[in-house]
Amino acid sequence: MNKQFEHIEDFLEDSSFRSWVFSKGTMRSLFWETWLKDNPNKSEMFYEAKEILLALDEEEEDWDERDQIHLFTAISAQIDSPQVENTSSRISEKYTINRPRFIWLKVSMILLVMVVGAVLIGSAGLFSVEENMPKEEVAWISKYALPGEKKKVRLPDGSTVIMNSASELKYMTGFGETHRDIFLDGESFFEVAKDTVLPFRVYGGDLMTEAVGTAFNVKAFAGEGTQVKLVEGKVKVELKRVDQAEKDRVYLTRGEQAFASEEAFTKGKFDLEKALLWTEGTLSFDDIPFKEVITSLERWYGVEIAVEGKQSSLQKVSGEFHKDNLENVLKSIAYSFHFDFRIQEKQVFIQFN
Amino acid sequence: MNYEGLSDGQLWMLISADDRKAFGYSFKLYSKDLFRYGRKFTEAKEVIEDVIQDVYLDLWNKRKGTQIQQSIKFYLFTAFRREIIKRLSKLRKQESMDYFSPEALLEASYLEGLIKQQGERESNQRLHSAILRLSERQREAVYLRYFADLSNQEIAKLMGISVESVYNLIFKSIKLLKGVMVNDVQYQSK
Repeated sequence: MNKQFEHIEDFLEDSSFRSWVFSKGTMRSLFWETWLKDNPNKSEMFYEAKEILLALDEEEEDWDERDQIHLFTAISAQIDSPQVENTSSRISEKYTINRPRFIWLKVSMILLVMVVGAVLIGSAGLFSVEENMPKEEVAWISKYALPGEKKKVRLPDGSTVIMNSASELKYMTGFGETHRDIFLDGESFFEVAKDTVLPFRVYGGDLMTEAVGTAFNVKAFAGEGTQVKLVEGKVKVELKRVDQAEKDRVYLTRGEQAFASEEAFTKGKFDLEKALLWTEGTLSFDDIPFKEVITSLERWYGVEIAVEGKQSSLQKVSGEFHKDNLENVLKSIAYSFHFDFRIQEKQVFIQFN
Repeated sequence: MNYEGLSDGQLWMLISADDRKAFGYSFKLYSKDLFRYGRKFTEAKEVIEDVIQDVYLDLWNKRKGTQIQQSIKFYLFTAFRREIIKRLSKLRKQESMDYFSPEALLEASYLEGLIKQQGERESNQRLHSAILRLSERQREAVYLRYFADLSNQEIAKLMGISVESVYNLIFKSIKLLKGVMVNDVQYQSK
């Protein structure tokens, strides 16, 4: 490099110098270390430039990576939400009343995405009452978190939901306007916006959970029973068996959970700290049978796991893995369970010895 | 597909061709810088995130029609600045004072900064208090130049001032920061 470095500004202006100062650990290029050795007379200026940059950098506050991911998920969900592009054209052709609105909406692209949803939901709800709309016009809106992914979803009423892997949420148009009924397959954590008029109801498995403004976790994977854990506020949980008219209900306060299986409907306590670890990317097992652990791993990482060989059905797994990769998690379980494993893309083979 | 080697223009071409992964990559590349940039205008995280969301949705919605003249990055920064200023002045009218960085907040973060820095070198403390003495525009320009890696020309266009003014804003900022360090060095050598 022939560049002259006579002033602090010369360092600051140099982008390779800046990236050297800000880079951490192994990626750091050796160029500037060498340069410093070759130019000992400029070391004072060099260090001052570095110190200025670092001081400026400390003033910066980094964006929490989780928040960043959440925001991108919200953006993706808005791009994906079908009513924005498809339904809008269909409905505006059918109901000319709406047309001026849509023309106005097209003027501002930013508003298009944000508002069309609300307008459509409102008018679809209206029409379904007044004009007996054909069934397909009352749209279901679905949100998916595929195996291996987690999603934060904002609902039209301002509530937020963190969806765990392999879960689906569904609600009908009019959500937040005429109703707040939402259907869950899988596991989700709900933070419910306050609304004294419309109760917020989650239908999952055999349970219906009703809340006004509160935070709770519902786990309702098919065939595993349904579980509601209350983190904040107060909720009513109702048992709703498809084939039975009976309506059993319990009220939960903070730290209490309801569980419905084939055999029973019970109320108990749970560990507040552990229950929500998954929303922060921590996979935790607290004395869980090996078979259930395998199911959790399949969902969490979006893989299929085949288990071969003789295994003890009595052994249970405890452990916490924060944002760890599958290989590390399997390694530490394998250590105490004595099995070999092989990961081939989305397939995992476990062989007990 | 590996997006890392792509030029800004190539990335934009992919986005125009509905490539969602390219869109995601542009988010990964620039959203953090936008967030930090937003901090120069307000302490309210939600407002910043909201604006980032709008700016990216807008980018996606406009992917067919818009000619990105300079770069995606410059486009995003321009749209972001316009939108956040608009949003904040609207909020200001609604008297939501907590959405701003009033003196009180600066004071608090200054004190926090001091506490955080205790035990470190004195010059560092001086640097930090000097940084807090920079004007809002000075901080904005310094951030755009040294952290967001924009050129003086781009910054001028973005902030709506001349290239010379940008140069002056940055030059004066650095002079001020340098000043406290020189004092420090003299102090030590005595």
